[in-house]
Formats: sequence, structure tokens, C-alpha cells
Amino acid sequence: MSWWRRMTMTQARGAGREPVAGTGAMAAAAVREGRTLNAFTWLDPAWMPPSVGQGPLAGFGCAVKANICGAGWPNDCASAVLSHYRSPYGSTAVARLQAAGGLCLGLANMDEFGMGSSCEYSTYGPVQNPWREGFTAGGSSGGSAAAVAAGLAWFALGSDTGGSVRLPAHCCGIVGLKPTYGRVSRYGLIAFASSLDVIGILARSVDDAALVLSVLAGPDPRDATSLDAAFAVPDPGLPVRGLTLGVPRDLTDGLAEPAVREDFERTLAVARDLGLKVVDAPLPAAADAVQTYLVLAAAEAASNLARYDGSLYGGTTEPGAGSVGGTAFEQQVTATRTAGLGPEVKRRILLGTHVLAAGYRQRFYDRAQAHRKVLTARMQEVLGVVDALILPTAAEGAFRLGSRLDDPVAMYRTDQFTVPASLAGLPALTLPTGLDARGLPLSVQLVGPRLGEDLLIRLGRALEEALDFRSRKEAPWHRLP
Amino acid sequence: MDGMDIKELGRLAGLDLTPAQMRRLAPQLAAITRFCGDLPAAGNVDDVTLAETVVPAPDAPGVERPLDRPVALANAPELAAERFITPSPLPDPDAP
Repeated sequence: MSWWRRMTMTQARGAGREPVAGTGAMAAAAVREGRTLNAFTWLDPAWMPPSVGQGPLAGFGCAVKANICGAGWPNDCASAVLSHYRSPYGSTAVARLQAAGGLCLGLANMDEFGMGSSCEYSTYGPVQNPWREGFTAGGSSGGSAAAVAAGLAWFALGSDTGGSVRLPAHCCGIVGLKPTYGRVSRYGLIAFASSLDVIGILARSVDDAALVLSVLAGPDPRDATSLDAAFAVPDPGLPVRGLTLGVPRDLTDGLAEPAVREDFERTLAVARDLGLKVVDAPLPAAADAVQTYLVLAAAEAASNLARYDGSLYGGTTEPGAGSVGGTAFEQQVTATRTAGLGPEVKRRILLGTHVLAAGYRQRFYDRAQAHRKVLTARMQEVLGVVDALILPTAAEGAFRLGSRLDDPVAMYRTDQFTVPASLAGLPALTLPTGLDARGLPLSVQLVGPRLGEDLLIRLGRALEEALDFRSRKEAPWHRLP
Repeated sequence: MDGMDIKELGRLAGLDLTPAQMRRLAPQLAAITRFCGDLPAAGNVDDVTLAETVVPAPDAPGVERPLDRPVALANAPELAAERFITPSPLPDPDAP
């Protein structure tokens, strides 16, 4: 087993290892192993600059989800409609990583435009789970998570709209951090649902995720929704004894999978052993969270993706000889979108168009907005009484590729535990906890108050040390050469 | 949704759906809209109110007590005052 697959960034520094040497090994491994995992859509041949900069991330290489722009990069969001597109500018997140000495190895595979929970809706094909071939790496940041879990990147950037950082972290047995909405600039993140999208971090440890967040966070004049709130890594050793965790039992009591129930209760027992109080914190408003999220995200996506008409970005498809109706330009727009957009994107655009249409908007969109306000208010109130919420990230471990493609509603229900924090704009941390009966990872999710990432890091550190998941010999970072 | 609706929705969304695509999409979209249409009415979006209840009294140190009662919330005007995160960013002319 290779040190650069196994060690976290913190451990590598502490052991006196040279980060850039590990990054070089990862880049070579990504070329050798790329087709097996399908974690990358593009590897940058010029990832190594003439000299490695200084800064907290100096020499550490990362994968960047394909919807986060870098100047000159082929940021196609895993969509045919953006084939041959090269971004003319770079995102604030990538610029901050590079200014801190970070090295970007390439673009990570994803569900098309961020729409999906399994990384099966990519024009490049599905991402394989490094724990077990034939199983999902989660979505939509599946490539980012698979790269980190397989030791092909020290950390990765993803985007999380309804759980797209946390669910892949869960499926791949690594740490996933979704910051507070606005904590990390979205300038250069290609939009899916603008009131929900955040850039998040996939990492090997809680401390690694905290380090990356400290580089990314902070205001950006180019993103009007970014918050004037920098983030400093909390001092190690801050106590967690006496803090209170709230469990939304009305959500978790319905867990059907015995292994998930047992793993969750075991994690709560570990939390109590650490001196944490564990209390019930019902969230009845979260029962409709998936439907609420689906309506609002589809509506915003239908609006955001209207720009892909072949006139500004990506290629153009000429209308066929049988095209009728509209002007020549309208026919070209229709031909380009019909040929270029994948099935899940089409489904969501149609849904979004429907819920905003006259005669349907009040029943769907307005109700969903009202539910979002109720859920947000309730979560804020509960988090004024408990320090954080704790619940599973998902109701089961990674599922088999292809098993949910014919049942979109079943696929959407995968996000049932992640969408509440997304709707409320709250920070959330996914932490691996154990394995299910098939040997695939399970995890818990901690949800904190707005701008409460420091609390999540403290809690996450304590649980991570007590659970010691990273030492499991079944993990890909131990098995792979 | 029937086939006519989906065809018209497709037209509005700039998509030219084939009969085969509509046959596949129709039941899927019907299931999704049934699923999403289960949202019960929660009042007018600008006038969301909830029944008032008692906030649990502070516990004595060391006592764990479940939050078994809903927490009282502010009235509609405060909720509508954008205390919570629902921003709408301006479009970036340089973004794709």
C-alpha cells in the first residue's frame, strides 16, 4: 500500500512526506487507473507548475468537479450540450486553491449538470465505486469522491445542491463537507439551482476538509450571495463534552435496513461515551423535504439551463430535414437542446417548466416555497436548542449501478436525509462510521447552525477519532498498490 | 400529464420529444408530479403561520429531555422579512 493513498494531508505533513511527490504518484496512477474507475473526465497534462507555490495547500493535488470552472478547462458538466466548451475564465474557488499552493490534477466526472444521485447520468458513463465494482460512487460528485477514496487526489471539490457532496462521501467512505450557503463563492460554479448550489469538499479526514474550507471561505465581490465570513480551522483538542446532539427520530425510526439502524445507534452510543448528550429533536416539517426540494430545484434548473441553446456555449446541432414550426433559429435551438441534453436533465427541465406554468404554479411552486420557509424556520429553532443534528446520510449503502434508472422517484428518495440541510442553507458534515452487510460504507451526517462549520469540525474530529474508520483494511486506500 | 401536455411542455422548454420519448417519459413524469403534488397546503407563501406552543423549560444540568413539543415560531411578517436564506443572485454576464 502506498503512503500517498493511505495518509491524510495532515498525516503526510506530520510524517515529513513531500506532498508534491505524492501528487506526482497520484497523477501517474490516475492515467493508469482512470478507465477502471472513470473518476475523471479530463486530466490536465500541465497540472505541475514550474514551481510549487507556498501556502497551506502547497503541493497537494486535487480533483475538481467538472462544473467548477478553470481558465481554459473543458468544463462540460458531463453534458453533450457543452462538448468542446472551454471555460474562458476561472472560478474563485480554483483561484483560491491555487493561490494557497494547491495543484489541480483534472476534472472529476459527475452527473450531468449536477442532476443525479448515482453518477450514472454522465455523458462519459458511470463512475465505479472504489470499494466494489458495479456499485454507485454516489452523485452527483461521484468522480470527486471516487478519486479521493481511491487515493488519486488528496482532496476534491464538488458541488452540493441536494446532497451531491454528502451522498458520494457516504458511498465512498470519506468525509464530505457542505458549507453554509454563501460561505464559499459560487463565481465560476456552473449553475443548477441557484438558491441551493454550494461548492463543497470531499476529503480523507475532518481536519483535511477544515483546512481546504479555510482556504476557500470568505467574501467575493463577484458573488452577491457570498457571506462576509472567513473560516479559521478550530484549535485541536477543543472539548465536545456537554454538547448536545439532536436526533430527528421521526425520520430515522423509519430506517428499513438493519445494518444502517445498528450502525447509527452504535454511533450514538459512541457519541454518549464522548460525553455528548443525545436527545430527540423531531422534524415533522422534513417529511415533505424531498418533494419540496424536487419542485424548487427543477424550477430553478429549467430557468438556468435555458441558456444552453447552442448560440453561446458548446456546439450547435442543425435541425433535421423534417423539422417544422418556428423560425430557423428556434428550430436550431430545439435541435441543439434535444440532442445535447441527457434524459435526467430533460426530465427535470420538463418538471420545472410544469411547476412554473400558469395553473400549476400555486399548487406546486408556491406550496414548495412555503414548505421551505417552514422547514428552515423549524430547523433554525431546533438548532437554537441543540448544538447540532445527527442523522444518517442515507437510508442504505451504495446501490448497484442500473438498479434505479427506471424509477426516478426511488432515485430522488435517496436524498431524503440530505435535502433538509440544503433547503435551509445549513452546513452539514458526512463522516464514515462503518460497513453494511455487503462491505460497503455507511456514514452519519451532522447538521449545524448557520455558519456553524467550526462546531461541526469539533464534533467530527471527536467522532472520527473514536470510530477510527480510516484504519479499516477493507478500504481501497489500503488495498490498492 | 397526457401526451399532449408533455409535447407542449417540451415545446416550451425547447425540446422536440419523439413519440417513443413521450411514451417513456409520460408515466415517469406522472409519477413525479403525483409525488410532488402530495405537498399539503401550508398557507399563502407570504402568510405562513403555525400554531403557538410552549417552548420547553430549560433543563437542570445533566438532565436529558426530548424536544417533544413543536417550538413556537414568529408570525408571518417576521418570516417574510427574509430572516432566512432565500437569496436570488444577479445573473453573471460572463458565466455560461
